[in-house]
Amino acid sequence: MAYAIETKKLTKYYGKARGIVDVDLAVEEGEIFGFIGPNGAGKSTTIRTLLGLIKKSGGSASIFGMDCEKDKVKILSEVGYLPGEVFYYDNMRAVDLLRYSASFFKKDCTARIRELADTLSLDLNKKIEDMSQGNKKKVGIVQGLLHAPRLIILDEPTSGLDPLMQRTFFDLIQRENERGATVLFSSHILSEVQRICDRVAIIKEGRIVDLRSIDDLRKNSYKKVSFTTENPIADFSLAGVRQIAHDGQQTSFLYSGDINALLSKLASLPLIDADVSEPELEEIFLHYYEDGEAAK
Amino acid sequence: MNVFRFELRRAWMGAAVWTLVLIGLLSGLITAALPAFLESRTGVENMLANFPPAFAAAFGMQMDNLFSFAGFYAFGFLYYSLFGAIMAASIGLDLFSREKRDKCMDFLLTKPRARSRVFCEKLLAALTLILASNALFIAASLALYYAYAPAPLMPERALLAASALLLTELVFLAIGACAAVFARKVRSVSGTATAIGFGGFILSALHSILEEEKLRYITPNKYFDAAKAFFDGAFEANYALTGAFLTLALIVAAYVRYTRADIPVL
Repeated sequence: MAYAIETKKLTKYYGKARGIVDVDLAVEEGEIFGFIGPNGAGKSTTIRTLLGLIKKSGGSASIFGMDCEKDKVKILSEVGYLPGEVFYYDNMRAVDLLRYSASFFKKDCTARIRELADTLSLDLNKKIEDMSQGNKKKVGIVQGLLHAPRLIILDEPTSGLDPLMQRTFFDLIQRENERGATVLFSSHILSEVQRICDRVAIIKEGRIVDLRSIDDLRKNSYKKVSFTTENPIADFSLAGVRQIAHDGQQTSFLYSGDINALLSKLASLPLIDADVSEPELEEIFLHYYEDGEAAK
Repeated sequence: MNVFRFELRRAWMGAAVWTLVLIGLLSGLITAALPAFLESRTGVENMLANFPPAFAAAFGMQMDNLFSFAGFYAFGFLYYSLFGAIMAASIGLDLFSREKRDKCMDFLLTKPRARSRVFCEKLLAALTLILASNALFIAASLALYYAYAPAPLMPERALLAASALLLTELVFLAIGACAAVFARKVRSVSGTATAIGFGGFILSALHSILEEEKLRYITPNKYFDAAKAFFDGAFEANYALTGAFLTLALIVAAYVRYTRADIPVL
């Protein structure tokens, strides 16, 4: 079976600097696949290798069974790409840029440009350089989707979009997915990936450190807990607690387990304040470091 | 051919302005300055005799043939080739650094078009602009030749001399394209093109002052000499071949770089 995206031991070095090492991915057709990792982990390097913007140092990469370097032109006719930061030509109206973009595809994209612009409330007659960052991003979304691609590659796509527009954007991506498009969604924000993805690969320092379904990730997801008590607490024990730290009256830790058990435990303490939130990605990744160290 | 059309639409205005400047300079020199020179020959000769020889050589004022249409055209060619060099370098830099300057390499290079074809369409657009500009310049040169040159006329020599600008511009187009492709950043097209054009002009002046023949091999403005074309009916083969080889080598280098380089994250 041909995967929408398949990489085997994909490696990229920039001179001696590490880009990605032995990245194995298999994204099935029709799924929304999350690709998550902190900045500098290798997400963009992987994506740029898939798109033929950079040449691999080793391994293989294919899209719809076609080699990413040899069959680049055929592949790109099936791919829509939205980078994290969007830049376009100076002194051009959005509609002119989108027409130019459409001229690379052997299909009439006029109706779809209108439809996407209406969905995103984008004024096509405005010059791009006069637009806010959010509106420039909308132009990027339209140019990435105007040819109804089979594969949509999104690299940190929500930066610059306000929360309302983010919701519209996610709805749009889900509609594209229902139409049959496969989506590779790269992000360093866990909640974004959890929101729409079926599976997620986690990349750290150029290597894939985990690959799991979103359901599995949710079950094993951590909460960041911190609380302040009237007097310092010397001992706090509960199954599922890790990385506990005491700082005077304040205690903080990561928790994975039954939320009711956590709340019962907290309720038994003389609390002044308490906070339960989503941990930073770096804090979650400590778990992978610890496991890696333990394995050694 | 959408990249070709896009580049033509973006760049034709600049090329048109440069063409007007070139034809204006040519017309001004031939219709106004040449008759004035010929009418007051003795006064001009006395004035030029007082110039330091190196200064006169650097600015193309050679007394032996300045008072003829061909000599005066060759004198003017130093300046046409300066302006033409800036125009051609500017076109090369503009077209081949457009995405780099606007930080939208990702936009163009993730479209279903081979980089080799994008390069060729950009090159074709640049050549179209330069050929169109030179067609007008050559037509103006020939018209002025018929109007102002004394008999016997040798239009084939005038045509060859006028085409020296086209050939010189091709060298500078290649220099501009290569600079655009190899530079990490191109901050200002006009500034860089002016520096390239004046670099060629200074080399040309140095060659005229020093009369060092080896220097001519690195002087793009003198590979195709309009004076030689007018007076001998041909360019000097060794320099013309150097110019042709350099142009080809620079274009090949730019092509290889453009089609193979990694596109870094912005």
